[in-house]
Formats: sequence, structure tokens, C-alpha cells
Amino acid sequence: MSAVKLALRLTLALAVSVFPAGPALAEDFRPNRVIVDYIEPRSDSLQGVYERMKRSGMLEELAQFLAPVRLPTTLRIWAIECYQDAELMAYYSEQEHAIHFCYEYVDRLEKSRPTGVTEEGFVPEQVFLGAMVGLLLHETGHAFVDLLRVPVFGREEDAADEIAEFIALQFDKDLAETVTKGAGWFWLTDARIMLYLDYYAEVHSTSMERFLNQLCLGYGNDPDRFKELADKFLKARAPRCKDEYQQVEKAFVKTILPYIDPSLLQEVRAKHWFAPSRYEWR
Amino acid sequence: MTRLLSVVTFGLLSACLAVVCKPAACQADDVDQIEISYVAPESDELRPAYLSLKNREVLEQLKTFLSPLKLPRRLLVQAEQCGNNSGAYEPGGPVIICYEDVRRIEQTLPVEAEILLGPGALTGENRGRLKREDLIVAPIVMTALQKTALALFDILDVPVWGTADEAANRLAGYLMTQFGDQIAWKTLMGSAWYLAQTTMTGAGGDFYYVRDPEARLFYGILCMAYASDPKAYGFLARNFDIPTRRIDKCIEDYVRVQQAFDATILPHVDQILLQKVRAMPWLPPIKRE
Repeated sequence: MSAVKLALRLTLALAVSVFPAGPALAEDFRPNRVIVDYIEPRSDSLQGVYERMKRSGMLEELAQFLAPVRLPTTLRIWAIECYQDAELMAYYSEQEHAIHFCYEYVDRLEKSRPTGVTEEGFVPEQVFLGAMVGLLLHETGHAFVDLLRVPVFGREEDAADEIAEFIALQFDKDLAETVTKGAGWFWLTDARIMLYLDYYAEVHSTSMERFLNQLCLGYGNDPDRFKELADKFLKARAPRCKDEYQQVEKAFVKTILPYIDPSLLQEVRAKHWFAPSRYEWR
Repeated sequence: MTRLLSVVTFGLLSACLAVVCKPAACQADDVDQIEISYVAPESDELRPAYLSLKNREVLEQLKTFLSPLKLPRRLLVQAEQCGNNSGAYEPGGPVIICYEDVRRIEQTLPVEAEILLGPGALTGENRGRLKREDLIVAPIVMTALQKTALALFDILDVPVWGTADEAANRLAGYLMTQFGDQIAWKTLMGSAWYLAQTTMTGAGGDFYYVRDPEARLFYGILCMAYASDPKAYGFLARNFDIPTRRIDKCIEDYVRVQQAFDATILPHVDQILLQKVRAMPWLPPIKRE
């Protein structure tokens, strides 16, 4: 959906969004409930990542970005050493109402990000920031499912990807491109592995599916902006992407939009978010 | 884990396979919301599949299953020869059961009269064996429920997160767990057995040639079974049919689907009618022509 269309819908939804129906009334759903903390890592090898993350202010920017969402409790975003699983990148804890954003993931991104523009046209600064913001929005999607009691029939991991991508597409076009290409680059890079049967028992889609799903939503929303990647990767799926986007749009409007404060959203929409040029990352 | 059985959803599923209650008596009001039709196939090769569905009164049962639902429009459920058409549900369209799919199911049947699986196979319990009839009916029920789920999402304007097909698969799997122990066993394990035959086109290291959606559906069905009754289906974990890292997530998935069902579909269910159809017998013996 275009930003204009969303704005119109927001206006129409104003009445319900101020006073959400059902259980929301019984609880204290308020905006400005996202808090950031940096937990110092024990591993010496992650000290640099910890310092760079703090200096970047990226998580604080995310907290401001999410301020319009009215939540029943505080949502915490913790930059933290995750230890137990080298593959772990981030996760949302329902018990703590907290997103754990792993230093190990940032370390992995720092080491694996491209040094120049890739053959697919991915720009290093953009995909580095976009992969982080995309993952954070994905975990935010899990938080929404939990805290806003979003009904999910499909896989929650796919839902979280959709929520992340849809949100990114509702703001300026640079943010749409940063997140879509950042997440896309990460999943495309990760997709070049052989899959065995039991991989399909995983709760996540395959990396290639995640790349294509997000790209399809981006293309469904703005075909011109993502045409080059779509021509290369989506092929026969491309004509269906508008429908896929509309399915997500409908789900968002019905399940999450009622929890967004319209006036704060207008303020957020007036700003430029997660511009790679603002992040020196030193 | 305590069995996660919702009384109300159990009732809804009861209706799915109930045959004693005639559709007219089971409708929420005087208007038939569900229209059914068996279209005779042009191909002689598909005639056995046509008779197979008709003799089992599959559409009649599906109509009864849907009868407690208060739908805003009529829904046509039709069995037909699909040909080049996939029979996929299109918004506003009918639910189509393809004779080709039924033929495919019947072509995978084992030579044996029954197959044994799980610890019940050793102790002689009913839940431990699957008869040929179960292996035919289960995947047909699975397919019918999947396609019906897509129609319900459309007609009831249900918000769908995740791919629509995956959401429909999960709802179908969840509904199968609500049939009561014996029916759940037959439909879930019968469907899983069928998917195991059609999913793994490779062997050993060639398993990466799996058909992705069916492989995912295979694990989804196993997961729903395990989460609905970890004791009865614990062998799926012990035998590593479900990878260890997925086990806990199965229960989370099950709860999510249950919550989504309660939030989005249950409000459209006629509770009184539901009670009527709860006590019906299911999966009756096939009628011969």
C-alpha cells in the first residue's frame, strides 16, 4: 500500500485506534514503551562491537521509530552477548518482553559484509544497516504477535518477516530499500547452502524463501523500485506479489493498526529513518 | 502436557466427519449455506476416483462439518476433474476437490492390508495401525480441510499472517487433532504416511530434492499430532521423526493456531448446532454402489 493510502486508512481507523476494542480496554496500552539497554559482553572479542553499537545510537533510533505503537507493557531491546548458540542472531523472549539482539550477529555482519557493490547491486553500507534493522523489526514482529495478541494461523516466523517488511515499506523509500535489500542480501548470502529433508522441520522458512518473500512484498508495494531484483529472482512469482502484499496489508490493518497512535505516527512519518549515511559505525 | 483440546473446536470437527445428521437438519438456519456437487469426470481413468469420493460421501460430510458455521455467503464445494487447473482456491470461488488428487492418493496405497507404526503396533492397540481405508480417507480429509480453510479465510475475512497455504495447512492439521483420539490418529498419521510417500523423492543424501511444501506439511502434521497429545505421539520425538530442536516449537505452534482459531473463526460458529453434531459417529464404512 502506498504511504498515501496508508495515511487515509489511518485517518479512517482513528476512532478504533484511539480506543481499541476488547481486552485492550482492560489493560493499559500506551505508546512510548520501548526501552533500550546495552549489556556489556564478557567476551573480549565482542567489546568493539559493543562500543560501536552504543556509539551508533541505532537501537535508540528504533525505540523512537516504534514509539507510536501502543503496548500493554514495556518492550525492552537488549544488545547482549548470546553465548549459547553461534548461529543465534536475535530472539524475542515472551517471559521478559525483551528482544535480545546478539553482539555475535553484529560481529558476523561486520566480518561478512561486502567490501564493494555486489553483482546483484547490493551496496555495503546499505545492506549492513538494513540487515540489522530488518532483523530488529522481525523480532519486533514477534513482540507484536505476543503483546498485541495477533492471531497467526501461518508460521509465526513468516508473520514476523512480513510485519518487518510491511512496516519498512510504509515510510520513505530509502527505508524500504535499506531494509528490503539489507535483509535480502543477508538471506541470499545464507541461502547458498545445501538443504536436507529435516531442514523443512524448522520453524523458519529457508533463507532463499525469506529473501524471496521479502522481495515479493517490496515488489508488490513498489514494482519500479525493486524491478531489477525482481526480474532476476522473482520471475513467475512476480505477478502474484501484489496479491501477497495486499494479504499482508489486510492482516496488518486488522490486527496491528488499531494499536498505533495516529498523531505520533504522523510525527514519525515526517522524519527520515535509518539513513546509512548517518551511521559511521566506528 | 495437558491435552490441548478445546471443547468447542472439538465439536466443530465432530461435525466435519459426522454423517448421521443429515445436512438439512444440521443447518444453522433454513438456508443451505453449503452447496455440494460431484461432477462426473470426462476421463474414464478418473471414474474410480469419482466413485471413491461419492461412495464415501466426502462432500456430504464436509457440508455437515461446515454447518455450524454462520457464513455471510453460500459456498460451493465441488468434486471435479481438474485437468490442467490446479484446483487451488480462488477468492470468491468454490472449494474444488480434484479427482486427480484422489487418484494420486489411491496410487500410493501399500500392498499390505494395514501398516503398523508407533508403540501401539507392538501392544496391539488400535492406535498403532492404519488400515488401507484409513490411508485413503486421511489424505482426502486433509486436502478437503486445507481447501476449506482457504475458503473460510476468504469468506470470514480472516487476517492471514504467513503464507495462506501454510496457514490453511496448519488449520487443517489443528482441526484433525480435534476429532477425538481414534479419528485424530487415523487422519493425522494417515496423512503423514501419505506425505512421507510423496515427499521424499530422493534417498539418503539426495533428500534435498524434497518437494518443499509437502515436506513442510509432513512435519507440520507430525507437529500438530505431537503437540495435541505428547504422550500418545511421543514416539515421533523418540524416533526423531520430528527433529529434537523442533519439539518445543510444535507446542508453541499448536497454541498459536488454537488462539487464532478462537479469535477469528469461533465467533462465527453456532454453539447450539455445534452441540447437536458433537455426538455423531465419524468415518463410516464406505458405501458400495
